Amino acid sequence: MFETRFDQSPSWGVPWEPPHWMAEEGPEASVAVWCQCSLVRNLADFAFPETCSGEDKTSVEQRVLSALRELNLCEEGRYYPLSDLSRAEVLCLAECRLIPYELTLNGSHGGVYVTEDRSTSIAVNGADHLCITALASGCQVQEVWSRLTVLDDRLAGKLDYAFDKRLGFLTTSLGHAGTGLKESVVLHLPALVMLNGMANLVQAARQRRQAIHGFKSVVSPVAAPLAPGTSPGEGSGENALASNTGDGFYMDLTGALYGDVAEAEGDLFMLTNLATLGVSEEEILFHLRHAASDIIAQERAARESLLMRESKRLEDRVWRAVGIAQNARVIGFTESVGLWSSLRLGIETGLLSEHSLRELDELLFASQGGHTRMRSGRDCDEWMLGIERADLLRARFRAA
Amino acid sequence: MLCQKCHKNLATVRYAEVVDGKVTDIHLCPDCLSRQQDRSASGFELSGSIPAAKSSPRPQLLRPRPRAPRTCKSCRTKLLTVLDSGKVGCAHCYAHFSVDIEPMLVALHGSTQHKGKTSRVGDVRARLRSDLQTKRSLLRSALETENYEEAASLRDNIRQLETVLGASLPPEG
Repeated sequence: MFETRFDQSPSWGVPWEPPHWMAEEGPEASVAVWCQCSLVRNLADFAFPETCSGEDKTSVEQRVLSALRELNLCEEGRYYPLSDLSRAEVLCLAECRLIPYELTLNGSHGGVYVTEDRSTSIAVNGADHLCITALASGCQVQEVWSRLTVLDDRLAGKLDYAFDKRLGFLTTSLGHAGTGLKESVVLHLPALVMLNGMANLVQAARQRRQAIHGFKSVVSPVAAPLAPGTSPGEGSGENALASNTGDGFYMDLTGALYGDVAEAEGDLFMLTNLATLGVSEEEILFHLRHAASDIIAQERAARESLLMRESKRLEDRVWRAVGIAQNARVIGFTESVGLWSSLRLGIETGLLSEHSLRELDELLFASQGGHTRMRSGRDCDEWMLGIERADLLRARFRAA
Repeated sequence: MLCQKCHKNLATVRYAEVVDGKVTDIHLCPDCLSRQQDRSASGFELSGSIPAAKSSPRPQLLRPRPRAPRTCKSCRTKLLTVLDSGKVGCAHCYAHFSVDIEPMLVALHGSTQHKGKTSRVGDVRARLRSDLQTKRSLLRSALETENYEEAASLRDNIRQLETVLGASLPPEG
């Protein structure tokens, strides 16, 4: 059961404020929210984490820690053994996309190294021994990869990776073998959704051995049940949390946590490579960059078309969202992500000039379950999370 | 290969259904397989004429019979687990189950020949050569899509790499 430990000293606890890399508006920020790149690696002389013993996992962790020390990486970041963290802190790391989802389910021998700006992480003993991840705002596919490959090379100098000359890097999932590289761009495509343009994109991506997944919220594995005597929607005419499907977005390299494009929440989509074997890293990046630019151009054209032909529909959507953000008292994560999309669209199309994209993107991270629990300093059930989330929205969109 | 129903998960089972005397083969993931079996068993999905559907036998599961070895000697992972989940237990599973794993790799990636980074950081020359090969192939893609800006930058990179490798500079088209 959820162990509540919210005491945080600034030198130790996981920070819950939005990560520093979000502060800077990346290229193509009006459509590309962020991009992330992960490399999956395993050590040569141990079975993979799902089959190796707890003792072996501890040895893997020790070996990674000594590599981090030898490379002086501990000066630029910090290693968190997950068993030392509260569940809310673990969730916070997952919501910031620094650890994969499986580590939130079972992190008994897991840990994560995180750089100070929280733009790079090395998750230990998830589905694979190492999952090295780099993040950046906007569409910075090449930049993220450059950071990641340098770190990977430094680690490869100290650790002996499981590698086969013909099959490349050997990974737990057959879907990651070869380069072990999963590069993704997170795209906000409200206009293409409004104009029913997503089906063609999915088809085109499949032909390029890429995938477009819809973001889907997941109930956090530590979600507290509703407190006895309370019920969702208590005191309100309708159930304010009826549409809620989860309280956060989590990182998952297999794509299993994401939904179909038709089920996407917040008009958020992830464009990612499927093939990792038989294509080099550079080819993966090249094709992903081009596919992303192509989709960004299509979304821009769709927004132009909406502004020209259906401006009232657009304005109505944005101002209704502002109304709810300014007045709601309880709001579920799924509904808040829908509002987030409308508000971001308002900023992207110049209707909401007093807010910035950065502010909105920080709000997306801050309204997730782990972040909300950390901010409020207590364990919360779904109803309490809804109240905290509505408070946050009202504070940001206070009526002038 | 990806599941032909949901197009998301790894297909681990070949499913054959006989309708109107015709055998239809589809590749499914475990989730879609159980849904398909439920639908077929409850008779809600009638893809052929009703009499034919009534007379058709129960769907047969044509899972490939696992060949020896069935268990990885190193980590004790069962071949069936690998086929069902698309996940292996250790690096040795790739060699132990190569006969069954390789078709899955081809279906997923279209290849079983690694290209790109190697694990040895010291092998700089090999990496540069591989880089050069990749950049040449990207240059062809860029020219095909008339992306001349990218092509010019790639051509510069290729020249630099060739200089570093001490290779003679072939004229680029």
